[in-house]
Amino acid sequence: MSRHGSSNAGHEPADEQALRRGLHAEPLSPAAMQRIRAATEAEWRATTRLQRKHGPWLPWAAAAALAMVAIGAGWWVVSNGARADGAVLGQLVRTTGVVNESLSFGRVRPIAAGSPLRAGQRLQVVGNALVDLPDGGTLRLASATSLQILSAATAQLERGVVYVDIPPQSTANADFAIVTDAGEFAHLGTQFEVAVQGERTQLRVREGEVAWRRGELETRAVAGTSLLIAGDGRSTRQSIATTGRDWAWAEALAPDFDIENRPLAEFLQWVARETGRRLVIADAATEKRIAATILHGSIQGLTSLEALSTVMQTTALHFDLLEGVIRVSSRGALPPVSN
Amino acid sequence: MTDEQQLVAKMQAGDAQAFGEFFNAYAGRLAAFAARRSPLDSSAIEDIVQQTLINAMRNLAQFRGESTLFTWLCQICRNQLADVRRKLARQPEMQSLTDVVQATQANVPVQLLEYRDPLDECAADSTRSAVRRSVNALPPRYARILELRYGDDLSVAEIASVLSLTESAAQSLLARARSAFRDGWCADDDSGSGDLHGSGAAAAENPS
Repeated sequence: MSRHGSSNAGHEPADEQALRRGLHAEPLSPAAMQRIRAATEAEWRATTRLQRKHGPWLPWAAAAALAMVAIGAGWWVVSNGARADGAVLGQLVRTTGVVNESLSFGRVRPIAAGSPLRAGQRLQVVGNALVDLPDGGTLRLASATSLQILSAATAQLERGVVYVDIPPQSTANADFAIVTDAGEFAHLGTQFEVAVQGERTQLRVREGEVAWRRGELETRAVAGTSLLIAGDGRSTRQSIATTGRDWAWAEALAPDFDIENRPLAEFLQWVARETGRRLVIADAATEKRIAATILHGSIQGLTSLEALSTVMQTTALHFDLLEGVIRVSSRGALPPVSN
Repeated sequence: MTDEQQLVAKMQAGDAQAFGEFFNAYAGRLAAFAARRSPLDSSAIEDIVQQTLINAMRNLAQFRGESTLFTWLCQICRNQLADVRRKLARQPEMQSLTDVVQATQANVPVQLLEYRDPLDECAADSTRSAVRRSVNALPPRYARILELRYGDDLSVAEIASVLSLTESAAQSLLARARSAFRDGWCADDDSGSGDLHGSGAAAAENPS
């Protein structure tokens, strides 16, 4: 391209085209922006809480709070019938902060762990949260996510990041979908993440396949693929890793796995799915040993990889974490496993 | 009290809507600001932007409106970038950037109204490097307005607001900046130097 004169390609002069190209910076992904928002918001809340604690205006705040209570009580009387009683999408298992339900008149109501989440509820998540879906699978919500439950199998993501994990063999949640302004993301037996930041929507598929539907159009994305959809509907597809820090927040929300009396093989499959890795057994002897091992004890409170390390120390097996793979082999020259 | 001072005051009072406005208005632009000044990958830029905004939250009370809020944030971000660069230069091998960023203490921002703020020139393609080198050679006011217009894609009205200028003054400044850029860019081309004809291995300036 010549630096002199106007561009033939468009209406914009060549120097302006060059400036745009030269000064353009790739935006961070919606998921990255969401992580930044969550961390910044947490710091902002901590800082403002501290300032308020030491602030000189406590009497005024108390008076204002009393006034708010009085007004709130009035509103409560007027709008107490607004609680959702729709179909159950899932059950809130735990949260690192609080999940609030938005009510009328700007009121919010914290949702306790163990409570059902129903169609009609609008949720505001402060801190990450884990939701169990009926008949298997989980929904994981990142901090600062805003979500409206539309039905027993559909939720509208207004802002933030959600991670959906529905085991491939599950048929009960066959119609489960996340809806955004960019369209509907329907699972086809999979693990995937949808993030909404401003006008941009990003789909990242970790396992299986996801159908992105917009009007009559349908596009499929398979594991290891990301679709970045701009506000005008244009999408960019790229390859992504199914392991690593981008998934860490979802891994940290993994549901507890009760190992008592469970086969080692089941546990290994669980770790592999939770960490987005493929399970590789080194040889037939190792496979036989795995099949013969039943676990006892508890891994509660451990991340999936910590649990793997802890469990494997109690066996005669060894594991390696390779690129996208958990490889399990027998340790040293051990006697063969008897049937 | 300016609009930005009011926004900060609301945030200090715990207004969640004000926080949302602040984040939506500045986080994306800050990420672009950092990315234009660093060859680091997106996960490192994410860390830098996050640490910048966390430091900003800790020092909100120090924003007194002597510069725009974005200029103030850029100053914190610049300190953050410089810290990371210094640490990476000292320990060029096997140093986790996460550790570097986490170990960084809160930077108390210094408010500067005018600054020399070079763009990173180690860009992936030669045209981009050449443009950035030309922009770096311009007076700071020119470089700033070109970045706002063509990097952040702001309208003249938005630029006028950011730079506290009238629209006509912003339009005039932009025209002068474009003209200066064109002169430098063409001169660079005529001399046959730079990445257009060369290897593309331009070195990044060391920000001071």
